[in-house]
Amino acid sequence: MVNLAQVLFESLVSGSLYLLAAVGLSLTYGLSKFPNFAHTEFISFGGYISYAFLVQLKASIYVAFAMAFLASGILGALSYNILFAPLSRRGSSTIQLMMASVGLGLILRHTCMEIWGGGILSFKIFFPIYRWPPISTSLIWLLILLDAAATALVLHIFLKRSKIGKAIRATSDNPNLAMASGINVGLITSIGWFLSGALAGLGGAFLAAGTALVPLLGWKILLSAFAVTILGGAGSFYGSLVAAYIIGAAENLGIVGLVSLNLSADYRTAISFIILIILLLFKPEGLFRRSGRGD
Amino acid sequence: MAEEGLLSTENLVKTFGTLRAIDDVTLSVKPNTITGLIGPNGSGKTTLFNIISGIYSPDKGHVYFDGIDIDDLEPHEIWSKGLVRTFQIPRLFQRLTVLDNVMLGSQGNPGESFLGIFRNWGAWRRHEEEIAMKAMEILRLLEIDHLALSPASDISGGQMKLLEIGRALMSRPRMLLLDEPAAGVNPTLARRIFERIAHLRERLGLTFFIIEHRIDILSEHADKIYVLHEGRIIAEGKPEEVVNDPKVVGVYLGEG
Amino acid sequence: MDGLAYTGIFAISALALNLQYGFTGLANFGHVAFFMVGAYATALAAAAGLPFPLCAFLSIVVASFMGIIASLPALRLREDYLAMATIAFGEILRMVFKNEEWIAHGVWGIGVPSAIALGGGTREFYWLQLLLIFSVLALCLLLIRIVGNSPYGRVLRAVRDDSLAAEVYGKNVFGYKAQVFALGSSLAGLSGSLFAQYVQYVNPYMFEPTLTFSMWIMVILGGVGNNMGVLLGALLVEFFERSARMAKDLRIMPMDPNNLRAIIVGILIIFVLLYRPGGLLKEEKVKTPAIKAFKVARKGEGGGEGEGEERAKKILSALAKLRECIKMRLNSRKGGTEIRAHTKHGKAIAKEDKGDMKR
Repeated sequence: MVNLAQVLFESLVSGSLYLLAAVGLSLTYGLSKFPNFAHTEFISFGGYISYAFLVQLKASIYVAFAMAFLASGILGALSYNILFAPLSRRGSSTIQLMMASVGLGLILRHTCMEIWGGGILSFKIFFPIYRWPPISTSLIWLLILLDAAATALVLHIFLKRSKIGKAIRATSDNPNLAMASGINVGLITSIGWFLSGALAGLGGAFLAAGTALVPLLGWKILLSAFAVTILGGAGSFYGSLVAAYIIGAAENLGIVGLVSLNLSADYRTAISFIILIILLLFKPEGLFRRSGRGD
Repeated sequence: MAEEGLLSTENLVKTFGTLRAIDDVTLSVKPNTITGLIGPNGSGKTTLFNIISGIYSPDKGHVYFDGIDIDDLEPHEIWSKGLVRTFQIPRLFQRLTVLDNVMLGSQGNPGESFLGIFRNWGAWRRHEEEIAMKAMEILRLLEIDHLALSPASDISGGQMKLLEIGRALMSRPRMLLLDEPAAGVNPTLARRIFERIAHLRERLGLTFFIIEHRIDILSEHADKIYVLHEGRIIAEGKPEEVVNDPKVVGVYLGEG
Repeated sequence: MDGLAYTGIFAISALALNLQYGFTGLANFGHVAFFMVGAYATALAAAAGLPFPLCAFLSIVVASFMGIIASLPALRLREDYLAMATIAFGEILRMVFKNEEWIAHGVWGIGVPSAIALGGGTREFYWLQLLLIFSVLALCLLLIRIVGNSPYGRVLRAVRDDSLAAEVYGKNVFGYKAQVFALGSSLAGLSGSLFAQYVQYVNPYMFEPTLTFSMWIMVILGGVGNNMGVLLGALLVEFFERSARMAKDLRIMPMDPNNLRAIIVGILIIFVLLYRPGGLLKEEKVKTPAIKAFKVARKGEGGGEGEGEERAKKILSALAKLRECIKMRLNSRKGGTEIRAHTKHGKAIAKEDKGDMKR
């Protein structure tokens, strides 16, 4: 017997995780117009930073998560300024930028492995389990939900109200126009990359706390995050909010379907891959953008 | 069909979202003439070329070339019927040499299919020599033959425009659609380009349909001019008539 | 020696990728899928008792078939979308091999008999393997060179540089892309087949997307659009791999050599992209015979000596004749027939010229 309420609840949790992972990816995709393969390494990096503070330096969980946010943010801004900005200035193609991000990903992943080893690390925190029939949840899951909601809310206010936020949206829509209207596109893009890295890092910290920390932490959700980004429309913040929960639900409901079809639950991620392929083929501009734009 | 012409369009409509980029355009280009197409920026000139050359398909209406309805054909099929275009901003094969660019314009190269490389081993080699010479001939005609072996990305803007025309000529066209052939080149060269065009029409019996902003030069050579404004033809006729048409003057002044 | 064998095997895949990306501009990030399909096809066919040549052939067929299936819907996509779609396709395919145990024992993997019927580990075994792998590599290289230096190859590069212009100039862009995708996939399948018989065992973990990336790195490092560059890239990547493994055995490094290797490769990619975006070796120009003749002609003009000058003179005089001819024609007649006349003459002269050259 399938516990539908539980499945829906878990959909919400994985949707929130995807939201944290993909919002930043979508942001940089919109600003720099290429899919950043190192984005998931920002996620792992955030996980490792929070581990370092929490377990190795015995800091409080708040400090650890704040540091994950900051450190990954700086990493994001740096990788833009040192790597991707010069490359774009030299007229690199989308594919060359992608390959550069693959290279950056290799460097980041193996640097983390060098420092923290390749094994599985655990936060060794016990998160109490709550049971409210028919749903049971661990505290960390609730925190993830809370974090996703807070991120969405803060970003919403930031992008809608603040000057920088408006500039980010303008740059993402049309860099030339933005530049013509006096926006410092380079600076705004840097800020976008900082935010992207920071959100990834925070997501990584939660992901690591909720499951476990392995070097391939981020890699496993890369394609799902791409699926969210494309579904939402690259660069569209609100699109990726909705898309994250759609993909989360699709995967969790999909498992139920898979089990009932006697297929391995391992196909869970295949669901988002298939969504990704179908989207790319038939609606690459995403669900929440008017067609004919962004190409 | 509207009129007897080598190329004619019939009530063409193309919309993008809410914008009617091409709004009920009917025109006809007679064989062995130079026909001009002018209009302010954004009036739909290039969109019209894109429809004729098969890049866009029209929402309504038809395009006829030599009596055949071509609006369902793919760009490469339209090309092989002898209707060849150039681009406003040159779209060259940047990393290939100037000579390669021109040679790519040739029709029916047996070595351009995968099996053809092996099946027509001798044939494509002979063909290559032949088209290389023809390509050089064209480059000489355009006076850029000294650049034959340099990459297309290394030549100047004006030379790129010439190379575009050269590649089009290589296609053994019956009719050429030229999108601003003289834009971005100096006035002397612009005049020379138009003189060449006039020559080519006379000597090879080609038909030209030309978008051009330099109305002065265009009027010297064109037999007929169409004026496009907001997707509609607002005037047509002989150059001197069109230039003095109050509607046309109004459109241009209004824009300035 | 083991390293050389791997270099040869992956070089074939990298060459295939270069054909797709370097020549045609197709960003296939699911390349490993076709390699995997080739490997499994050989494994399963060998399990059914087929001899290796037949297995390899089957691998080629199956891989190119998969290539066609994958490419037909995907080829109209923008390059970054194509990259994501192919990577997702590869992963789905790998999941199928991993979870459907009835195909090839899932994660347990499947043993493959070697093409060389000698016990593994002996000297002769390795020599024969190398002979096999490198003769296949040489054949692939020859094929790609012929294709690359033909008018077909020129069209591929045109498609890469500006596919819209290529379409408008009469090239069936979709057709070319589909052919190249299928051809590249079949070569990847062939290299997968060699891989399976060499390693004598396959499981799904061997075909993770990182393998695609390492093939990409070979292409990007060595030289996009340059076959020799790709071979160099393959050699470099494999060299790093080997030295890391050796250093690990010897325990001489202060840090894990595997990490060091990955970091160095990462830095190398970034430096190449920043300072030499075409890769270590530059792209080769299309060299059809006519173009070669032309180059010689050019040198002749500059006042060279000997045989080159002779040939050049002949070509130049042929050109002059052609010009004369066209002028005459143009002056004598008007109308459209000229175009045809002008090529007919071109042909005649080309033949004459060839005759001259033979003498």
